Amino acid sequence: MKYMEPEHYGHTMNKKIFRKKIDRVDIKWNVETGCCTYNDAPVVTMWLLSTYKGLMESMRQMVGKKRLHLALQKEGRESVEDDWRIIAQYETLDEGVRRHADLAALGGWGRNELVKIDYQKQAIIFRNYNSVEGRYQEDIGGCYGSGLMAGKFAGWGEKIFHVPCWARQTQYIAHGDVYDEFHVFPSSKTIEAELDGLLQTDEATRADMAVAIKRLNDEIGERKMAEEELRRLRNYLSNIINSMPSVLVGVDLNGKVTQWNKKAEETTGVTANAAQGYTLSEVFPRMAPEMEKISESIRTKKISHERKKLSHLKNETCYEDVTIYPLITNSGVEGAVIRIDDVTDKVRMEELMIQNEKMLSIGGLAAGMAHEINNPLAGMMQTASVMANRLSENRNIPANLKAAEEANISIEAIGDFMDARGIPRMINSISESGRRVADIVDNMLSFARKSESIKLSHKLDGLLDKTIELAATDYDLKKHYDFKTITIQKEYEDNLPAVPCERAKIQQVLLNLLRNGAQAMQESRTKKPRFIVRTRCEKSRKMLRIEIEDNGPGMDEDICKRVFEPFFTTKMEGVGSGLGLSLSYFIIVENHGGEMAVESSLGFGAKFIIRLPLEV
Amino acid sequence: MSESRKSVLIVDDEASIRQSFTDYFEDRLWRTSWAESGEQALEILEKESPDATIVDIRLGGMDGDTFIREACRNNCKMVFVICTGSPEYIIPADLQKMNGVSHHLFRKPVTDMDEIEKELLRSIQNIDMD
Repeated sequence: MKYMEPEHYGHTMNKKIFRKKIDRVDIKWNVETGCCTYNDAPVVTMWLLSTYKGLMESMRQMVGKKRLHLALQKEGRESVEDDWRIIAQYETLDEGVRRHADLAALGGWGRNELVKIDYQKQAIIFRNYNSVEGRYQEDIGGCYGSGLMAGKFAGWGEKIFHVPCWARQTQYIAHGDVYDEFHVFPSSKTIEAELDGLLQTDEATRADMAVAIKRLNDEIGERKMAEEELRRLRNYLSNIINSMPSVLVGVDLNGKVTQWNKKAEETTGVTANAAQGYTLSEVFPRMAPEMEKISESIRTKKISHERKKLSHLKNETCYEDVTIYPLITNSGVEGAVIRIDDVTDKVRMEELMIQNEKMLSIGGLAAGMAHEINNPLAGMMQTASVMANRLSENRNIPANLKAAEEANISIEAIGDFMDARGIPRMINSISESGRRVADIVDNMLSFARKSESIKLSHKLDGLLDKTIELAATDYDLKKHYDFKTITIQKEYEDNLPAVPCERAKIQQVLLNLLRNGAQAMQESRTKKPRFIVRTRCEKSRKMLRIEIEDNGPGMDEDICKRVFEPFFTTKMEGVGSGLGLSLSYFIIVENHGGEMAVESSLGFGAKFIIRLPLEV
Repeated sequence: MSESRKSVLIVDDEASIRQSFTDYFEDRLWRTSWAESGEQALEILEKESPDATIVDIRLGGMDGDTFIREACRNNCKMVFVICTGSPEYIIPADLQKMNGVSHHLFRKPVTDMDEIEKELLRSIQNIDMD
């Protein structure tokens, strides 16, 4: 470290004044006034080089040499206005600079000197002896130039030449030169542009890194949050789509699958991943006939509805509503969404409701008609009954005998005649036919009667046993069936709960089913005819299920559909009224709040399913 | 039955039904009379007092229930058996309490005429014992 003695340094000695070198600066200390001066100017503050050095070293490490240098230049320029106020007070630039240098040296800045100025070329050379910047840089062993001074001199140049200037340092104390020297010249260089240039060259400092890392972290955090939000939203939407009870499938303009919800997976057995990108008809063959409609819908931008589309799944008949929505976006049509709803239950329910409606209207009609039919029927049947009495059964009643005598005919002869002409058979036929009419009217009336009688709880397995016994005695010559030849296989669930029901009515239903089945098996000459009678408790539905299954001829779909319809019968004319099953249905559904259904296909027997609620 | 012939009044607006009952009971050696309305039946009851009456409910003028109430006003000792073609009909409570009114309701058509005769005889016997 070199110490340059300033040339014009004054040496005034006084008893009361002590001289002290503080950090190589001569300070006069007046012990009388307690005032410290340097070059007659009071010194109120002083810095310690070591402090400054430490500070700058830390700064350099943080922001880097070049950055720090530029920052110092900027700081130097900040002081130009203050400097110039001092310099401009003097007549010549030379003197102004010298006076200012006195003050600056006092502040520890070292001594500035205007070495040379060329107004024509607009060039100045400044020097700084004993520069604090140079000295601390020498101390820390790193030279990045005396930025404060450079900034200051560039600013002075601007003041002198009235054009933007730049100061280039040519000599460095920190490098062992005697002084710091600066060449000042007009330049369009700016500190800001230089700083930008530094940033462009990727010369990142730790501070930059810290800032960048912080920014990056913030950005990552924000992006993460956005991604999280996006993920959550996507999840939410897909949950909605997957929770739908409908099959929801998205296709692009070419009919390739883009969206495939859970119900679609369940229905087709194809996972969403597997379906992605395939043509809909490939992964959902059932939809092949819909492809035309999908293109149509995309082309016309119109929603297409198809209701109750019939399809056969695993031998079961299903009804589906198929809706095709074109996906219309701002830029046109993107594809289509296909929604498939299984409406089988709904359709079945509608069918049953229509059936119920039919039966109830028949019931209403029957109630009105019954009286009108019963009266003439009574006239007919009761008269037939009297005729039977007079002509066949009780021929020997006094009135007959008297009339025969008056007609001069023996009652025996009349009897022979009647028998020969089949009169009793004819009367019998009248009575029999009349009885059937009466039965039909009575059965029809059952539809009108809303049963409100108290229903007691009955064990249905016991009731089934009783009914089977009863059916076994129902040997009917005319209908040519013998219940005893039929095997009965009972599959009762243990500990069935009792069910509130009208015993007689339920028995009527069961008997009717057994009879129908027996007749059907007999007529079709079913080999080894058998019934399976099952009972199950459906706890979840709070229903008790009874199944009566035969291995007879079964029924096709059309018959299955109509089997509960009033007056629908497949039996020979005169054998069935066509009311048995509809009456059964009415008893189960209307009177007991239960359900009745049939499952059958041609050649595979028939299964009737009855469900009765476990509680009223 | 042999020593004293029972008598029955048949009240029904349907001729063929009246006739069938009349024929049946005549064959069974009952004395019969008939009316086609409640009003007419009440007139007959002023002159005759049959053992039993078979009453239809839906009649042209007053209905069967009213006829029975009217007929019983004079506390006559007579049996009433109701025979109706109306499926929803039930015997009103006040009639059920009456001594002579049979609780056995016959619905048309009566497929077994013997049943109604039996019921008439049973009711007549009951009322005689009172």
